Amino acid sequence: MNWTNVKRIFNREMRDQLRDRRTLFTTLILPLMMYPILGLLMLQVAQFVSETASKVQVIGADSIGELPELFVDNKFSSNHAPAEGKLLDLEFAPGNEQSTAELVYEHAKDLVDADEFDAVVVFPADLQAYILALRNEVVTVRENDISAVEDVEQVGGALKSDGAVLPQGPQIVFNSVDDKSRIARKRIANVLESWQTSIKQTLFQAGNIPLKIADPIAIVDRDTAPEESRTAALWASIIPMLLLIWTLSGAFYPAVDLCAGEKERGTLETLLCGPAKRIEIVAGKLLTIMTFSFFTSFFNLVSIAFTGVFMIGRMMPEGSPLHEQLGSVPGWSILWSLVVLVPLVAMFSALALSAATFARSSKEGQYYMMPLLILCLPLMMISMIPSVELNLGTSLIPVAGAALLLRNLIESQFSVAIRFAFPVVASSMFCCYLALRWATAQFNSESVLFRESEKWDFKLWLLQLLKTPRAAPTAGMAICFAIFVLILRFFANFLAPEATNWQGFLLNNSVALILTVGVPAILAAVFLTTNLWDTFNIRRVSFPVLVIALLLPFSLQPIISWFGVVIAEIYPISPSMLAGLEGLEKMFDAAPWWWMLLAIAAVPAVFEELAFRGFMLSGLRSETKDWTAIFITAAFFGITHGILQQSLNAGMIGVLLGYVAVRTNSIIPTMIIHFMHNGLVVVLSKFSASQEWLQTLQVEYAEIGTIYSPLVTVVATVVTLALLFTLHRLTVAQPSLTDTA
Amino acid sequence: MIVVEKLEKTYPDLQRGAVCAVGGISFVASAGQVFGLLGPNGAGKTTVLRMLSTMLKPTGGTATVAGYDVETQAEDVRRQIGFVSANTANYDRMSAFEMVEFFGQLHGLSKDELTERSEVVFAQLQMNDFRDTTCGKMSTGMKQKVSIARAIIHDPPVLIFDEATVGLDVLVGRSLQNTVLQFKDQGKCIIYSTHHMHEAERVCDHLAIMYNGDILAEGSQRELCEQHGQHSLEELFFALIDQHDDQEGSDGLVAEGVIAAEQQL
Repeated sequence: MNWTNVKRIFNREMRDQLRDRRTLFTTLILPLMMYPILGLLMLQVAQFVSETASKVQVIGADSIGELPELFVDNKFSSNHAPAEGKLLDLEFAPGNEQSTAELVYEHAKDLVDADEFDAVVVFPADLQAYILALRNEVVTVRENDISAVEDVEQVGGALKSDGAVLPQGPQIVFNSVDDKSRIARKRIANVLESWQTSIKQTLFQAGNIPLKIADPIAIVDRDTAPEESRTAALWASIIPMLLLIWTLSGAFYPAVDLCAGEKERGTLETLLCGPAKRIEIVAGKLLTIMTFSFFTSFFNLVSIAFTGVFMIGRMMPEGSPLHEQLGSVPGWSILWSLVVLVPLVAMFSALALSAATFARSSKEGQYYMMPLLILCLPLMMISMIPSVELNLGTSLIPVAGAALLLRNLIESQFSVAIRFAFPVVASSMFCCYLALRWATAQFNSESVLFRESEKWDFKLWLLQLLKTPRAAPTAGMAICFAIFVLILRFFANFLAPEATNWQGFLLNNSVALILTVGVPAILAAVFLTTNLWDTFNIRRVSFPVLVIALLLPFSLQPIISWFGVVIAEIYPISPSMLAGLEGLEKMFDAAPWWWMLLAIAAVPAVFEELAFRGFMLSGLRSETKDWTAIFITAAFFGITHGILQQSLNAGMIGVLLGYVAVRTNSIIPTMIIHFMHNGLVVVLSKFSASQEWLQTLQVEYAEIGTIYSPLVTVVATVVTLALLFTLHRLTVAQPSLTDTA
Repeated sequence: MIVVEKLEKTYPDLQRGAVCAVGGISFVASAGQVFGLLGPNGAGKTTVLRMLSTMLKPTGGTATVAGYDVETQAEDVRRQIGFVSANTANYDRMSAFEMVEFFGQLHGLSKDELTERSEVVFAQLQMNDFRDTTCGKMSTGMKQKVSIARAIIHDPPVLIFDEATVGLDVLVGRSLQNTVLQFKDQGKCIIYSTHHMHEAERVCDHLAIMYNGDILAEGSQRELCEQHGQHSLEELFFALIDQHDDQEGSDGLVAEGVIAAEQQL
């Protein structure tokens, strides 16, 4: 690669983009303007809401004259919550002693619903009598010298036994959907709580009981988080998501213009017929997109900081909730987030470049933005979930790990951030590498670069597909098939009846597997291809290969059990899932071994191999490199297993099965390995407890149970490698069929 | 200068299955010659030229440009050619000079070489009046001049014009043809694709008539007319298509093909 050419292309693209008003608006002007404008609006709304007085009707206030003072000059007394009292405009209405509580409520509800008042406070007619009775009872208790009253409830209990009923009120009638009404309710509640304390005080005084008895313990919070982390908490949950969204958006708009836009305008062909290599063009464009993506995030960060410090921090009154939560933007720690962003910027830029290159026009390119954002959004939003923490498991999840790392950095939790920075960056870099490979492949694909924007005719396409089937499936068919299987498996999980015994469970499982994996594979092969043997990769293999296929599952057992341990350490199995698995194990205790062998080993071995190492692998191999096809097949094979831990295990075995299928050009050995592997799990679960010799090979491992000893695992690894090496020497991978029938 | 032997291009199409765009054609074009590719839309002319400019890879046969193989020495080939087509547009947000400068730099011209060549090219194509105008604000004729300037800035021995006069008015089209003839006089090997008969008659001194991915006939205009007993290029063209369709035995398609060709020409 000639880096001088890359630099020239980068310089040209940068100059071009900087002259494009739309790109500048999206990447620079919009982020810089958006937050201050949003901040201003927020302040306006907050001020409007907080400073507008609530209109409240008070019903039955005349019935509480002998209780501690609540109203002065037709307003709430300034003794009770002076701040709220000023913001409540009261209108008094007399209570009707003849009316029932329900009728009063209906009347108040009508007033609130008609928006005549934001809230209505109803004092029950018997409230004063109740409180006075309560006071008399306390006095009586005191006068009778019952000095051992420890619980105020006892007094209440005594009253109730005398026939007094706790009145329903004061009631605040409000509409929780209406913001104004909700605010009015909060203000009134604060005043009434203060008033209640006054009433409590008079009652306690009457009984000569110290008020502090009501609150015998004082709960004290001692927060260990540093001051800057506490003030940064809300920012830390918001900023990662905002930054990641803008990183993707900042990458996508220039990408669409530089790829789909150029294709549409005809300038891409001009560049392609120039002396620069494709890889140089990809690198130049990618660097441009990365620059815009990075600076979009940077400008967002600057704008957020400005809004936080200058607008909310200085304009909101100190001590207000908004000031406490948003007034102090995390300090220099926020700049670390820019470092974490670099691999993500590269990944999103490569993804955007690929999608934009695939698009035939700018309009089509814009359509790809939303699905990409929707796919990434759940991972970006993970930083907003307080219970999710940065650990080895979460750090390995692309995008999500970076979001959590950003959160930790902004909260100044550097010790945790440093511990998991490497896995986060490694996972992001790996995804970036894959995205870059995809982008380069897109740029080398003639069918993508010179795709004509002719209208896609579904009828014509379907007719072509059915009338002129190919000898073996295409990569497109393989991917569509895999997605179709995933959708079927998803719905099968919900539709399958819940099994109550082992017969039901095994039958459901087998039928579901045949219907959602096996049958679609067979139908697709029959209708879309002409040569079933080639499609399913069914060929005879030599005797030594069969022997290797029979031996491999035995040597794989210890390795896979250790792999399971590693997975369980990184992604611990939840207690609810463990309980479910235990229930399943108990259910299987009653099942005959041959039944389990049939359902758990034979059915998956036949149908999953036909579908994945057969139809899917053949299709992918026709248009991609062998290892790409193996990994994609293994990924889909893993995902169909549903549970994360099981999927990772299946994915690893899928890679091995794919390799064997490619080397032997047949799924017969993989069917044997699959059957033997699952079969061994069944047999060992049934009989291992009674076999003492087997227990000598195993050790106990924490809560996971028994696994093979390290020595056995090392020996098994050596044997596995030797078997695979022998298989490699004995076989030659044949290219997949690509010819049309 | 250009040697094409049994060049083929087949590509898969989701709606039509495998499509043979170019079916094993051969020809040779020399220096100081304008080699014309004449044919209707869909004949395979653009596919041939895209293969010669290494944008597409052949699925069969070989082609060399200035001694370099289009498949194995693609970069060397691209340094020897200048490619102008109706599909190769200019960057709207760059000026004529920036456009030419960028491609000159990509071709590895030093600053002095670039200055010298730019002066020659801008003078030759009479572009100095709109040297600093951005391409987005130019007329179609101006844009086509910028395209040519971009293609010849490195003074390549081979020039490829793929339907370069599409969308140009008569005057600008004529001016472009004159420019092509000037290049021919400079000893360059020129491949000139068109579906306009009069243009081919005026500019090309050697012709290959393409139809459905094949070359139906090749030679100078006079040779071809004499060989097939026709008086003009147009008559020759339709005669060859009729003959081809008869040989293919697709009686029903003959009329359709001719009508389609007439509509496109």
